[in-house]
Amino acid sequence: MADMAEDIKQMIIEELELEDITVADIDTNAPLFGEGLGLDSIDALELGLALQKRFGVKIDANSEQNKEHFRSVASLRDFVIAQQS
Amino acid sequence: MLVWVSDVKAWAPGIENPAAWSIWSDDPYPVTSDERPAAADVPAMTRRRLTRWGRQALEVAGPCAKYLSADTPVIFSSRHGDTQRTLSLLESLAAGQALSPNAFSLSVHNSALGLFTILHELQAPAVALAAGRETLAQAWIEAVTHLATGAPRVLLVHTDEPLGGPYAAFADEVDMPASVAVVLERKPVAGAVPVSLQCEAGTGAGDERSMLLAFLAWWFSFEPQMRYHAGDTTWCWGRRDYVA
Repeated sequence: MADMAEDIKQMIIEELELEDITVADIDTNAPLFGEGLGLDSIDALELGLALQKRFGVKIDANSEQNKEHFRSVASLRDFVIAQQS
Repeated sequence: MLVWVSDVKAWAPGIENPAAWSIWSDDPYPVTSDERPAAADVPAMTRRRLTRWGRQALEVAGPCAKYLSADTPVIFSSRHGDTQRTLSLLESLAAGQALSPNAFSLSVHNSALGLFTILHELQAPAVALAAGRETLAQAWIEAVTHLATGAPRVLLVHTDEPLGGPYAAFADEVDMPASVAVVLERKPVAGAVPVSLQCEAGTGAGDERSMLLAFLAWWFSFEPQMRYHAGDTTWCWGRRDYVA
């Protein structure tokens, strides 16, 4: 599963145009929003779109669980795997 | 109306300081380059969202932020706006793809201005405008209007880049990627240059180069006057007591 976490990190860097940040800089378990990487709500929308495009997962805009899915790279990975299975 | 220009910052690829602008003004050729300004004083998390067009604006506006107080109006002008972003959104639509939320959120003429006012917590009147080939002159009129109605100081920022991709065929003037920030004062201040802008009946003919290019070539030269022909109108900038 390590590979998918790396893929998600690469996607985050590319889609959000994070200058000067590499895959190695992103902690799989660190928060993506607010603290940690410091992403914001527009980034969340951008990531939602990217996940649909690259991993074919469907995100329910009204789901209460989105906050938990988007907490970290690890939670996004688990979410993608659950959706794909 | 005579106003006093207390500072001017300009950027174009490879021309980033007054000495370089002075050399360029001897032979003001249109620079062609994809280079983007560093916009180093914009926080990285904001800067990543800017196209070159927006970076250009904030590159020159940033150093002028120190002149701003709560009552300083800010004007951002651009003839074409962020065409690179517009084009990418239209291409997504044409391909039936979902739009990038970030690109969509910044796909308005005042996007660079909005980010600037947020970064510097400005609450004074701010407007982004476009007026065809005469955009820079009309933005100047807007600035002078603020000064005439009580503002002691106005910041004017103009950014543009040549039309690219499918828009290139519609280009009607010689242009280059460039931006300028001008600080205009209502009253004389030490070191400021008195500048006037007047509008006359035109000859019908139009200058080949963009007004921004013509203005930059004039400002960094030693010429006291600059006339820009825009069809029905001729704009005349003049300055006095210029000390290089």
